Amino acid sequence: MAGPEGAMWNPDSLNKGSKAIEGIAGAVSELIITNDRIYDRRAPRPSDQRDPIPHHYKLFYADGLAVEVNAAAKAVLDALRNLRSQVTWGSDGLARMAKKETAVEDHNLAAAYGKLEKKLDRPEGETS
Amino acid sequence: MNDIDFRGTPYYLDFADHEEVEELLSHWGQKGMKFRWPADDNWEYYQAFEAWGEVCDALLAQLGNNDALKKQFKEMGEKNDGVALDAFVAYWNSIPLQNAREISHSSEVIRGAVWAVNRNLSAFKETAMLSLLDLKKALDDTEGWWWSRWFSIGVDRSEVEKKSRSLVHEFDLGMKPLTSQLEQNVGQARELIVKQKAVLEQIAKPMPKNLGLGP
Repeated sequence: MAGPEGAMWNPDSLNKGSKAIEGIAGAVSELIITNDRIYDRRAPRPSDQRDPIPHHYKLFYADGLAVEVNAAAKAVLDALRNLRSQVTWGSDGLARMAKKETAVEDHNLAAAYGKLEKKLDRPEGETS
Repeated sequence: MNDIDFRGTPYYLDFADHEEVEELLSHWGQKGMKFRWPADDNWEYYQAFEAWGEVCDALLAQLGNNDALKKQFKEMGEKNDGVALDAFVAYWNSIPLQNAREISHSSEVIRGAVWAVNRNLSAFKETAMLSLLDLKKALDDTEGWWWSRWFSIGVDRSEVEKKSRSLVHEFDLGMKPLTSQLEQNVGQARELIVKQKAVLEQIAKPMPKNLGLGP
């Protein structure tokens, strides 16, 4: 099928793609729920088990590291939540392309993805 | 003493035959090494290691190695052509897919770091325990020597104390390189975790709203 501007356009395949990605967003949600319940990931918890006086417990080897492990456990959950949003945006965009009035020659949609990509992409070397 | 009971954990059981030096290790660990026995039990790091593994494989299975999804994307590419689809593919590869890989990779690195800490703490405790056993034997021998001389000719008690102090000092000196190595290893693990946490926090930054991507 030809799109509004003459490009190839197959709404059925786009809808299927959108649904497949939607399924992945659901799987990431499950992963978030599962990970939120994995308390062992934050098992070395100084505040729960150590001397309640902060300047005491921070002196010990395992505790300084435990603080970072706990923070990383929180960060991975937040990262997964954002990943779920990013996956959902992929699904939303394909669903919009599948609609008759937009199709694959939607320059606004392309611009939206382009802007999003630019906004979300980390500058090279920022975290390395 | 910490009231957490680690007596059922595998690493505690490794040392269960050495009850005679447990109290000494506890005292020496807290006062001299800033290490609490058995509260600073590495078993917790082993549990953390296992828990960190679960996210890695699951994420890649969903996004990176999902054959059904690859097939669907291939079909979309064959049946559609246009700037919006090109933009979607570029977005998908550079953002969700790349982030999934990075989350998975970071989790794997953190997993390796907590595993290393677990092994280092275990090895340190084992070495400390065995060294303490040697020290105890040497001190017992010294006392035996003192008693035998006491009954025979009488002896200056300060000589025994001097020798005992010397043995303890020797033990402390012997443990210093091990302590230093443990500190270095734990520091390296911390550095790795901090670096990967920064990657995760970048991915977790607040997202833009009202993008107009919906159908």
